[in-house]
Amino acid sequence: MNPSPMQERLASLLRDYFEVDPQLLRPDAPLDELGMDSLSLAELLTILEEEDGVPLPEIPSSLTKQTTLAEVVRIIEEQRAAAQAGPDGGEPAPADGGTVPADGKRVLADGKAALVDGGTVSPSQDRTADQSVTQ
Amino acid sequence: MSREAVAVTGVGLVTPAAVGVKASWEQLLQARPTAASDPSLEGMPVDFSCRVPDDALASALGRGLRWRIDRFIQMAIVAAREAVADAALSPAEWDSTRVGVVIGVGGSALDHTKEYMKVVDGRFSALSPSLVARSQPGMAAGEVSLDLGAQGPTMCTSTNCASGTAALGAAKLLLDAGACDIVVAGGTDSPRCPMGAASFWRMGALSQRCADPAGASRPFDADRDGFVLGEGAGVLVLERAGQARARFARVYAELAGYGSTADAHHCVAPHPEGDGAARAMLTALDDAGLRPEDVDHVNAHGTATVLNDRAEARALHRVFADPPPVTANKSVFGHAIGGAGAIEAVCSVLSLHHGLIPPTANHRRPDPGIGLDIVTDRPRTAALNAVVSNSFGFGGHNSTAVFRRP
Repeated sequence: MNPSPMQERLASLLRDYFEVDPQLLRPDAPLDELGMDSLSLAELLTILEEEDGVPLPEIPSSLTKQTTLAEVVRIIEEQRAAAQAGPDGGEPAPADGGTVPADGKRVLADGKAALVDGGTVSPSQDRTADQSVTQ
Repeated sequence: MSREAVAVTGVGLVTPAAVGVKASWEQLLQARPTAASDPSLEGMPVDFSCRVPDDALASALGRGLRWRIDRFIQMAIVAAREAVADAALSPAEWDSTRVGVVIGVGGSALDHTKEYMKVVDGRFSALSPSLVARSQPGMAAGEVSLDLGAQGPTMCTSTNCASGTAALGAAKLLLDAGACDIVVAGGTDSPRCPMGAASFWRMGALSQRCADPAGASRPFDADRDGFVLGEGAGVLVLERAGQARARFARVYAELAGYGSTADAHHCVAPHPEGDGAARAMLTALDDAGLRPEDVDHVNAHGTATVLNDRAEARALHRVFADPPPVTANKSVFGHAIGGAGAIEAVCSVLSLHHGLIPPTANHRRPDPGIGLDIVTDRPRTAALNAVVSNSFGFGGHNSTAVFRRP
């Protein structure tokens, strides 16, 4: 079966940015084997979000060291589809050309910041590495 | 406190000449400057630097680390690995709780302007999650300890341009206090990025010889106009001499003494009479139980700024009735800031070991106000028993290490 564009993109990032041994890059390779932990996963998701402008709000709690590369691809593809669909299931991306980062703070195309809901940013909306890798 | 001699049993270098001691030392002996146009500084007021070879650094470091550790940490790890292997020590066999790591760093990485702009723009979630871990000065010692599996005391010494030498002093204190048995000690820095280059240029510290990079770093020369920004790391393995002898280790030299003072004169300009520098040298010699006349060679801080070289020369004349031969490694390697003191300490040790004083490059028109015997043109063979290595940093920090033949 041909790899999906996201699978190829992830493999490329893992190979070129994270310098994972190409021989280890298999769809069924667990994250642990690839040397990926929550810090590197958070970095990977941040890169994808930066490149695409599509927010990926959370590292799912279902991800573990044994999660395979193929499962990570599936989860990312599902989250991107949900993010692009919007919170009401059909709202288009911001028409002003701005991005909607996971912290809820929307940056408008003219560089000014505005909060999506007019409220304050909730810390729980920020993507952070698992507390087990921070001190 | 134990006052057993401290032995240098391993050395490692990452310099703009090469990754590794052998090739770096060879280029130093040839007095071949490493300064060249730097593509990352293109279009800037000062567009040249002394740059560590990228491919060699990446190859020595290996896979999987560059994404999460900045260049200055990469260099520290590579130099530390070489030093530990050179010392014939095996992390698989040592008591890791008795191995300390002290790495001096002048400043955290300055090249994260893209990340800073994300904060300015309010795009907080776009920040790299690894930004703190990859860039803070203390991470150099942390990552070296992680790489080697060293679990003893760790420290980062940060006294700007004196950071690397200060690390050796701190390491000696740890050994004298019995806090550990081995210290992997050194310094590292990678300031030659646009922010670093612009910052040092803005304060008037850099040579402006963009048309002649190789000829720009001219310590003690009448036509000197500032230092050339570099990068690099030097690491030494230090352990008590008795332990080194017991395991039949090769001892390059002894770290016989260390002295540290502050000028308390100006935030960046050295005391014009070299007051603090002279006291640092005298303190270090006293610590070593040596007299000035016992010193055979001085490895100078020698940045090639008008002020430093003049002040250092005055300090040398205050300490030594007849100053011994002097060399300035920055004429070849540039100024690696936090890495400089450690790189030059390794060179001081190699001088003692080989009986050779490397020449100072670009010393064409001696400054008549300096009055020192600057070794030039070719290496000078000499029977060396004691070498002084100086580092002086912004903030008025003065650090001197004294090395003695074992």
